[in-house]
Amino acid sequence: MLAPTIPPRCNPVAILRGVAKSFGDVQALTAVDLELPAGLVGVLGPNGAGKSTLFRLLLGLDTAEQGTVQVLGLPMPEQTLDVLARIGYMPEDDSLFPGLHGLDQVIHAAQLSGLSPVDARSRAHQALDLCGLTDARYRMAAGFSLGMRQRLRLAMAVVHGPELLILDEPTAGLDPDGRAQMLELIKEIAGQGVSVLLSTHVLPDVETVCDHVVLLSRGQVGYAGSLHAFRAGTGSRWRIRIVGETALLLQNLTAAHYTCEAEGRDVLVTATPDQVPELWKICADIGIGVRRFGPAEEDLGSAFVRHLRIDDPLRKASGGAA
Amino acid sequence: MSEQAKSVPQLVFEPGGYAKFSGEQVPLSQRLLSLVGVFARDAFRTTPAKLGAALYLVAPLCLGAWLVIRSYLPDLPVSLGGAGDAYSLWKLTKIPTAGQAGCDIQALEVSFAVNAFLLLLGQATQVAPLLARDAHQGALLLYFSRPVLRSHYLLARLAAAAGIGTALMTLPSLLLVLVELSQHGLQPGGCPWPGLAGVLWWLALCAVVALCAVAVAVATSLVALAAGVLVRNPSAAPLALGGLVLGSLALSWILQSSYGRESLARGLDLHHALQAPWFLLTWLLSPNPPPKPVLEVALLGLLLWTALATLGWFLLQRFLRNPPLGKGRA
Repeated sequence: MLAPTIPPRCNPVAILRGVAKSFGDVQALTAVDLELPAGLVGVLGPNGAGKSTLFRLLLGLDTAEQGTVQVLGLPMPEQTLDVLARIGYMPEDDSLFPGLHGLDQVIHAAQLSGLSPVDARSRAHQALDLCGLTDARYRMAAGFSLGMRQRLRLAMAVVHGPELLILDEPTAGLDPDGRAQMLELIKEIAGQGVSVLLSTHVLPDVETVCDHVVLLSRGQVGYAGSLHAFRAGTGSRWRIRIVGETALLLQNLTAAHYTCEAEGRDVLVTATPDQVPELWKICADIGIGVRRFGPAEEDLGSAFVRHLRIDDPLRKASGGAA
Repeated sequence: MSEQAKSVPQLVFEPGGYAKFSGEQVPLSQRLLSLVGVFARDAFRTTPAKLGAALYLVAPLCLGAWLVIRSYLPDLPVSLGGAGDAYSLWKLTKIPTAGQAGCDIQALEVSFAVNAFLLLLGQATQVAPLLARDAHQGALLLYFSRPVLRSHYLLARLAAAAGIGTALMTLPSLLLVLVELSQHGLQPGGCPWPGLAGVLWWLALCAVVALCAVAVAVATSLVALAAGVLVRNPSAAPLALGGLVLGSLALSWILQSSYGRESLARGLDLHHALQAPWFLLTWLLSPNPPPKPVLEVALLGLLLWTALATLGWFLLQRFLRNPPLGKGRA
């Protein structure tokens, strides 16, 4: 058996420049400048943020009113068919081709993507094996459980070997075990050089699989960059990992009127960047060895809310949560 | 790469894993053919559709066989109208059999009209709901997120519906032509063209039947697909087409009975308009062609309905430009 040939990734997989799109009075995307890097990218945002519109533009289902869209190095919508042949899309909706059993669903998807009947059948069997649907391939897809339908849709999305996989809520409705399996599959596929755009409301999913994050809010890009930077603090909370017990440091910080708490061998302190030298001084004064000192990372949920507040003046003013 | 390596398919997943596809992609025409094939199979997905098609073909087959058998029995008229079944009794009211000789073009015309009506019925139940169903179940999004244009999808739908329609229209009519041929053949008076030219006449008749079937099937499929856009609920699509046909009939009837505008009324009648190709070609072939005004009105009606169907085509494109996201189950 030949080892699969992994062609070099197209990086970035998509470039949007000054893209605007509206539906009637609703401005879905406003002057979006965005480069989606190769790899696993999580697309986050509250409902109505423009995630679906972004995907529709990438898939050529809609055209931008302003600006340019380039996917896998090709301009859209001029070369939609060439681009779509290299993309796999798993829609959020519970949609399948009507009246076909599992295998035929995948074969049909493969043939539509340009595979010959022989190749389509061969690949369909393998894709179903990959997605754990070997035993259910000849059953009518309408009778599949939700988890099986999700896996079937993934098989349909990957059967033609796309370079870019767009997954819209792939773990929606799955139980924890099914979710873990789905995320493992996604990681495995991404490991073969396939770039993945993952849209989800389940933030731990993004934490589990993604390297990069794009946050959309009110039709604009609120954040685009690495997951690590996304979770990095605002500069008002610091994590100090020390050698030895935390109690002494906590006591001194409290005495200096800092808000602080212990988390394992770390001490989390709320302070402005100007106060950082003073924090170092306190540690030195009491003779505590510092192993690491840096901005405290937030959990993804907190980072999500914080970025939305920064991006959205209304939320910021009201202090409302996302 | 060695010959041995070339022979190994390059489209394998690693055991239990994923691998990219590095094979050749087929041209667009082949993709469209596979789409038409799936759509054609889709038409016979339900048991009623299978039964309907079977009955549609079996009924004229049995009738044809019965007519041939009856023609060899003594003391019975050879004419199609001589058979004692309900279909032929109904035809007796339409066709003057007395003194009839040669090929019964009018019988074919009646058969064609009945088949066109049945086809319209079949299209209403099987074709009209397709777009609404695909939209409702989110399948449109699956099609258009692959290298398939909206026009490809529509053409494939039309080709599948019209192809099946053509087959269903042609086979029973050709069967009747064969029955006529078996009874009259090249005998004197068996067809309007004497001698060996009669062979050409019978061939032309077969071609006429096939062409008319294509014209009617395409027009009916187009109208059925367009009617399906009028509704969002697939179950309501047959009603939409039924409403269109009955509405045209009602309008025709009102115009005819209240205002005496027979020509205009017939032109608006969708079912009548769909028979225009047949009128035209029998007008060319038959020794007893339909009156010229009937032909003209039917042709004008066909033009009118084609224009309406074209409008429907634009509606379809618009409808598909932004496919609604479905929440249903396949």
